[in-house]
Amino acid sequence: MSAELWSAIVAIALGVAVLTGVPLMVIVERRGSAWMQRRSGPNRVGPWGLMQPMADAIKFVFKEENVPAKAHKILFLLAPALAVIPPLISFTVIPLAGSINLEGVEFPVQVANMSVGLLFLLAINSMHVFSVLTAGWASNNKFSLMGALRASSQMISYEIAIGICIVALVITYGTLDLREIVKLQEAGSSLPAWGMFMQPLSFFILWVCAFAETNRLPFDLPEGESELVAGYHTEYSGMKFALFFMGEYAAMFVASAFLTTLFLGGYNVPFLSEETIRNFFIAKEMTLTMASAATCALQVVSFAVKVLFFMWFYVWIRWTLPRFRYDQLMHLGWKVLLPLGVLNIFITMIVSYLRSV
Amino acid sequence: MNQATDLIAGAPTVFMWVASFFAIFFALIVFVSSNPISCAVALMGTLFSTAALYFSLGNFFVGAIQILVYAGAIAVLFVFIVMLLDLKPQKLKNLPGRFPYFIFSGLVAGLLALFLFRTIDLVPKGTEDTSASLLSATQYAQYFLSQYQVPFQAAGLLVFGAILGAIVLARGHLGKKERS
Repeated sequence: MSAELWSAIVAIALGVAVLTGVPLMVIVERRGSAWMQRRSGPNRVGPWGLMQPMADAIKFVFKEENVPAKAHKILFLLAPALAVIPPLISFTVIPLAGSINLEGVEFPVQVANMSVGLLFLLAINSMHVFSVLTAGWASNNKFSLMGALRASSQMISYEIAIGICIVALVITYGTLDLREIVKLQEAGSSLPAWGMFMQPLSFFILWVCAFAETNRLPFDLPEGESELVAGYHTEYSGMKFALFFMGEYAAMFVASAFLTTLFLGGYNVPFLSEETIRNFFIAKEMTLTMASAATCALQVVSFAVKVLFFMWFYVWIRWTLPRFRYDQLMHLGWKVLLPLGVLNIFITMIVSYLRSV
Repeated sequence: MNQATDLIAGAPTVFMWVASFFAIFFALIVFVSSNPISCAVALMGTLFSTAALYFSLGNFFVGAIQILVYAGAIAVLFVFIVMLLDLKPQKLKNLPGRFPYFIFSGLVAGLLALFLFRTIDLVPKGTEDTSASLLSATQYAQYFLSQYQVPFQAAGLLVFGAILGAIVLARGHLGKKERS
């Protein structure tokens, strides 16, 4: 089996997993919010309302697709596609599990094992602004434009804090390769050697920024329905609106996977290194291929659990905290998170210097 | 199975040609279109296709930087500004005396093409793997902090000066009292 074919197989499996995860997350969010607010939520379609996403999808497909008369047609149609594609591309560089041994060759469970995965992830992430801006401008609607302006200034402001945190992380790990970063977090005797213990301040700042970047509450001013109808996607209907919706959830998945990879040890099972698990399975008289596949399965489950924790946290925060005022949002971004990030760089530099001496 | 493997192994080459085609296609739109928005978006398309070209050639670092700096930041700012200025398409069409500009830009493009054709012979031919000669991110950093330290710092100073200048220009129209 060639490396390219293996990449293609992983890519297809990953795409299917993310695109099924999105509607499932929608039902989790709706039922979860209902549970938090002591109401029933959607519970009529299928057992426990589990078929609700299917019903929603059918509804979206059959709704009228409306393009406003004075909209810029090409950009209006381009924006929803741009909302979905970047999150799906970002997933290619995230390591999902260790490696599978096929015919004596180790195949890493990852679509593209890129040496600059961290930079690539940031680069693709910065594309999200373009979709929002295009959607808001092309709709030719005041509310859309206001929403787009808010969203873009918010995303650009918080991207700076993210960049600063990444600098501190790179000083700690010494690499931009996400697989290397995960491997560095592998072993640990008493505590797992996870990034959240090495870089607690970065973890906190990036976690806050993940909410701002995906425009989720308490940072959902671009879509604040009491002020802007629905923000940049006010004019969208049917499947085009659904694409924005999917893009938002896919971006949440990417942000969660990003935090997991950098701070929660990625696919690592706590206290157990890949070698330990594989040797355990080999001791159970499995072949090397079977043992490595079983190890990877365990690691994928571990990765998914961590990602789902962050996803649940998104839902949890959304139904717990109220929305920020716009000046509070800018104050937090520029006057709290950015100085904290710079302080973190200084601390990291001093510590890594002392450790190297 | 073999066919599928061949198909996938050939994908990077096909991808490279597609990326090159789109880079040139969008570049043409930047020049031909009279609508400023289309120009700005097409410029972004060009920068993206160039990044895709780098990726298909195996140089991930330059590709990622290309997206991060040019396509993700500078081109988005262009689009942002053009959208906010709300330029009308017809204004560009009636510029008097466009003809000399056409000749001048044609000459520059011709010279560039000539230069490219002359340098094509310098590129080593053959199918050997060139990925070993690519610099890694670490090597770039080492060069920037040793051999090219002074130009690197000078570039930083230049950007800093540009930022200060932008602030002065943006706030210049305000009175002294309002500035505080």
